[in-house]
Amino acid sequence: MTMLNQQEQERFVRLWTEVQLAVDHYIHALVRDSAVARDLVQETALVLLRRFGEYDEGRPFLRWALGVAKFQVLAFHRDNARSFITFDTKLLDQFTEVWAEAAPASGIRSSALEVCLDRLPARPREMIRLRYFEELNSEQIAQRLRTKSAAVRVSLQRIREQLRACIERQWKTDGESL
Amino acid sequence: MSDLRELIAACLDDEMTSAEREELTTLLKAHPDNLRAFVDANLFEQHLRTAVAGQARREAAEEWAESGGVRIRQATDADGPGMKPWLPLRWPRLVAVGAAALLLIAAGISVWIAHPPVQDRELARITRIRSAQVSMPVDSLHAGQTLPPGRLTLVAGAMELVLSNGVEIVFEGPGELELLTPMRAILHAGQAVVRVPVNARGFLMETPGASLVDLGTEFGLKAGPGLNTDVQVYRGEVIATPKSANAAGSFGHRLLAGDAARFTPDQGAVPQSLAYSPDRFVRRLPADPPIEHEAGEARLFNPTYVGEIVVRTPRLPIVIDGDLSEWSEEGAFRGAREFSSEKGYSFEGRMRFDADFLYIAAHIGDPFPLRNIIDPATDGELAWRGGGLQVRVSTDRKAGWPVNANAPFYYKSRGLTPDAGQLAESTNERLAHLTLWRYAPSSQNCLHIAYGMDFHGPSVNPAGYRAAFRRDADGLGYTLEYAIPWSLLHAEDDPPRAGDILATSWTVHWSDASGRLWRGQLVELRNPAEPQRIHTWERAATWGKAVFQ
Repeated sequence: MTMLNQQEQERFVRLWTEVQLAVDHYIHALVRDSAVARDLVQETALVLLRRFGEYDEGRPFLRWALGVAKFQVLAFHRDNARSFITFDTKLLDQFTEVWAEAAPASGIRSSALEVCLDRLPARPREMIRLRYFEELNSEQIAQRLRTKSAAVRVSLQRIREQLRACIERQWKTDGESL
Repeated sequence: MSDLRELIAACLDDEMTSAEREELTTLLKAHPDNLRAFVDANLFEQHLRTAVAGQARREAAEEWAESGGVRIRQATDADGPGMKPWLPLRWPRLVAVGAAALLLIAAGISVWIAHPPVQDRELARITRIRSAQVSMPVDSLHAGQTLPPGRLTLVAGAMELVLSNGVEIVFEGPGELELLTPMRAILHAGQAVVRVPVNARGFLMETPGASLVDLGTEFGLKAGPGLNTDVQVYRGEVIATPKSANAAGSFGHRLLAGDAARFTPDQGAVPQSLAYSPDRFVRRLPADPPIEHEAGEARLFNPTYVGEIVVRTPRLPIVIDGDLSEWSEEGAFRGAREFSSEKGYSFEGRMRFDADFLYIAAHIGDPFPLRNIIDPATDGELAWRGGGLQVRVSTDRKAGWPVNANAPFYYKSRGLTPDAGQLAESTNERLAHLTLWRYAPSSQNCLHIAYGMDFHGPSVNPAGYRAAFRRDADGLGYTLEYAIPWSLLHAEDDPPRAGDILATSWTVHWSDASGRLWRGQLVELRNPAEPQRIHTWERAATWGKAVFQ
């Protein structure tokens, strides 16, 4: 590992900060296990730091970072990765490519997402919390909420659609007010 | 043929059949738009996950900041049989109970176990239990008892659990531990030591302030006040990642054996280095003989016999040396209790005052005297667990007696909403909670102070107090003597004077031989008009009367 001078370190931190969320999301989407994903994000960050000297400035940093993350996922946890995408190298490459294109724009509306989450009624809000914060599956959520797992799956899908619609509305409203 | 949208939804819910998986793969390869839709859905889901987590933590932090209170409520019939011990389904619950436990820290005691609705599986088994105690009638706890996923609220004492995959957790109260899966748990508040076998590498222990991924190791952690998380690694390594907003985009920190660090919201991603202290956490409960649930032993609400004491000016100048020969017998009060028929647990107390100081003296019968190893540098708010004395005192003449002030916990646990006046009373600067103990490793005579019924402004070993301890010649007790300047009680401009009737209460704590594990307490000096089942730390009206002469 080549030691980075202070200027390079600062540059690395700046670049990493910009892409960290997209890389984090990418890894989470592939391994679908928070504990493992966090581990891999750390590993990816360390590899990027060690190999920062090899980074081609002419190339988007996100693409480079996703490339490293992809190999971390493959090398470290291929057997355990839950996403079927990781089992098809060509599809994984395409997925990574599309992710690199779409991720930068996807975060723009995250503030609208928070507004929409606040507007959810209590039960859907709790269901979303159980799914995405406590990371329970539909069966576990059903047990908590005393309903059926099939109903949970349908509800989750509807809530996601409602949130997307809400974001669109919010986005338009914000746009009009600008 | 399934709809792409449905297949993506099933994928996001981790519930695809192999046939659906193949179908989705085919569709994604068939057209770039399909892949784009799939990536969009995944991106949206990840933003959702991040937003939900952020919101939960933010609300928890806000709740903490606002009240230091707790969302614990007692079960009601309306909850239905399966929901009894569970809290309302609200996001801030993440650390609300943690906040409660931390409120209890200045005094509290007891265990509350929350069983979730009936589950098919057993996630953990209690292997050892020590001085665990219930604060309200619930199922008894005992070694060998199995536990489903759910929350354990332990306000004092400790228990050792083993999860189904061999992960061992020594959980020490006050605090709340939530067992989610064999690979994930949340320490909402309190302390724990985690041992992870090789097969469970990657075990995730979270606190309100940090995520700790265990890489096959043993480490101790504390979820402390203000969303602080302390981590100390005994063996192997741990990746610790702060959760605070300030730490967004930060790296996790790799902590190796011998490392200790504190993560605080204020410091963002940069942890504060702590001195490695092997005795800080309980790594094993005393195993020989195993101590089962000691029914009634660690009782919280003992009968009290003294409702009033005289606090007078000293007849002779008081010398803080641990020798009480200059103290007269006036105003002395006493109490005693037994542990499993073991005798020798008693105390005798006195208080004096002059223009500059409040004086406190006690002789405490203790078969394991002056063994407290709770480090004031890191865990002062928990010092009572290792044995010592807690004195709650009002210097507010206007508040008089009884003092009308309650902790946020008092309101929340009863489903009450305090008005502005009641909230103001709870933050009264002239109500103080003092914890007095000797830190055995350095023979330091320590003082922890927190103010109001919200326990704000805590400080450890502030300048100005004087203290002395003296061990009994027969090794079965000790004497303590303190002089607390009125300035530390926010009363330097208007100290108590003869004729005042103020409020005070004492709680004596004993530990086991380790000087680390709380064994029990004795409360004395209570207002007899107040129901016994109200803690003195949650309601100042329970405090006894101090008549200044």
